[in-house]
Amino acid sequence: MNTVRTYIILLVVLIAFAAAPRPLAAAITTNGIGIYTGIAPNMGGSMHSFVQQQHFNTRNGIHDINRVQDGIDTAKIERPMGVTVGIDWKVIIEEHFFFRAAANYSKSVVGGSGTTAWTDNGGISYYALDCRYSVATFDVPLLAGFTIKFWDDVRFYVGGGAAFASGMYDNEFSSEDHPDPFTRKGQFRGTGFPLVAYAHGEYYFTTRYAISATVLYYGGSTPLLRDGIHADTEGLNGKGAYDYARIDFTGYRFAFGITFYFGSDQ
Amino acid sequence: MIPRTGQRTHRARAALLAAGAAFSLLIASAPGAAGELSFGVNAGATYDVNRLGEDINRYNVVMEAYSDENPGSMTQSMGTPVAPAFGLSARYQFNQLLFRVGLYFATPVGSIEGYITPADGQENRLKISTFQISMPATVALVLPIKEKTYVYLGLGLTYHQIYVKMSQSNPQQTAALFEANGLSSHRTDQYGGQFGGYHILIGAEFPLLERLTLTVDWIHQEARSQALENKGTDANGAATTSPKRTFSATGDFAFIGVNYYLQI
Repeated sequence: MNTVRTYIILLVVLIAFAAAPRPLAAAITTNGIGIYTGIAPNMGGSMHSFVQQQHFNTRNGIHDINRVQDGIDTAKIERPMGVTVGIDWKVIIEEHFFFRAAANYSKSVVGGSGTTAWTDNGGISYYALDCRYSVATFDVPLLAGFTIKFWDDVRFYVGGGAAFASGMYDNEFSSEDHPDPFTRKGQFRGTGFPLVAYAHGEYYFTTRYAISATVLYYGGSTPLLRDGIHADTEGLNGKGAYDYARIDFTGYRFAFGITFYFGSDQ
Repeated sequence: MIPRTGQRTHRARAALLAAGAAFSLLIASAPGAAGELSFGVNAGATYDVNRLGEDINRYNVVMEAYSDENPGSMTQSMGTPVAPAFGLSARYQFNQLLFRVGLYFATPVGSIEGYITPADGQENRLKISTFQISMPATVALVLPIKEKTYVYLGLGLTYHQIYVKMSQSNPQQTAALFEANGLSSHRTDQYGGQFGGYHILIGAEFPLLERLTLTVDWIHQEARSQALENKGTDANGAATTSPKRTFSATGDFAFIGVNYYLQI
């Protein structure tokens, strides 16, 4: 809670500084509002959980859930790739320094589901295990760094900071051909403060508008979370009713967008 | 043919020595040339140094599930920390080429600790200590903007040295639980080793004073160790060399620093 309070205070200070009366804001040269969209490969990290570890022979979640076995019709479970959309506000100070606040939403849209082969008796018999992983995140990063303008119409940014991130992770594992059919669902909701690294390039096609390309790296996760939604006890000898997992925000995002600049100079 | 244990370390060390020698020759053989030599110090951070987050997560899920299913037991999960990094660098820039040799040290802030206390049992406190020393040698393309104002993009080889130690204060208390879930019940598991990898570097440089500049660097590195031998002790305190395991030094570092240019 102290970390959340600190984060909110920093955000308020940034907004107050940028909206300050003219004499105070004399050092600020330019404000920019941008919108963008892109992809987030390998969202969610391993998405490992207790149920997977104890019942489905995995040690690293989606990274080692895939198995093949004669007689089992498997379909590879690919790591999910997500789509990300966002809006940001940049403040360029004295031509070389910037602050950036943004709001982003990312959701896995491709991958994360399939069928693997699974045994619960040491390999005497195998069964098909249908798996589904999905993850979505909402984050508000606060960044600072350095910017260089060159060739009169190109600007480059590099910097870092931290984000307040809220994650939503759902998993589902079911086996219909097992003698004791079961479904195990997990739903996890939590927040964290991942570190963020940022590299961004812009090309001004007018004096106020620029198209952009961005690479972001997030590093962080939530604390361990308990699935308090589902209590699946049917099948699997009643085990695995509750699941435990963290939501991993670590990974890259690649985005393209457009920015509108206003202020004294860009 | 997969290189045997030690061969990868030797190759990485040889590659880095070759890069350092080439760097030195380049400077020494170009007296009066238009190159610029500089030395820098920098500080930064990374998340989950040596990629122990998944190991930590495996212990956490087991301890938390046990605590939920066993009233009267208590547990505290281990966190995956941010690790500050501190480094030095030597750079030689010649026209649009930048040669950079660096050295940085990263270790988590505070200790990584957790515990599990079975009902009517004694606390077993888990603690992880780790650090990473990396030496990247980079060749980069430089986009000059004006004097001592650059953007650069490069790649190169990296020599890594890592150390990981996990200790349990009372392993006998949770040996059955951990072993049933494929986790270690040793009193200590200790690994250390050297290996090579590669990295990509993107950065920018701005002038502060005539010979002093500010640098911002983002390094993405990829590396995995060979199988390292355990130098630990089992639950009874006897020395053990198993299991062997690999570690990943893959990760991203962000640095900010200052650079001082020498007159050559």
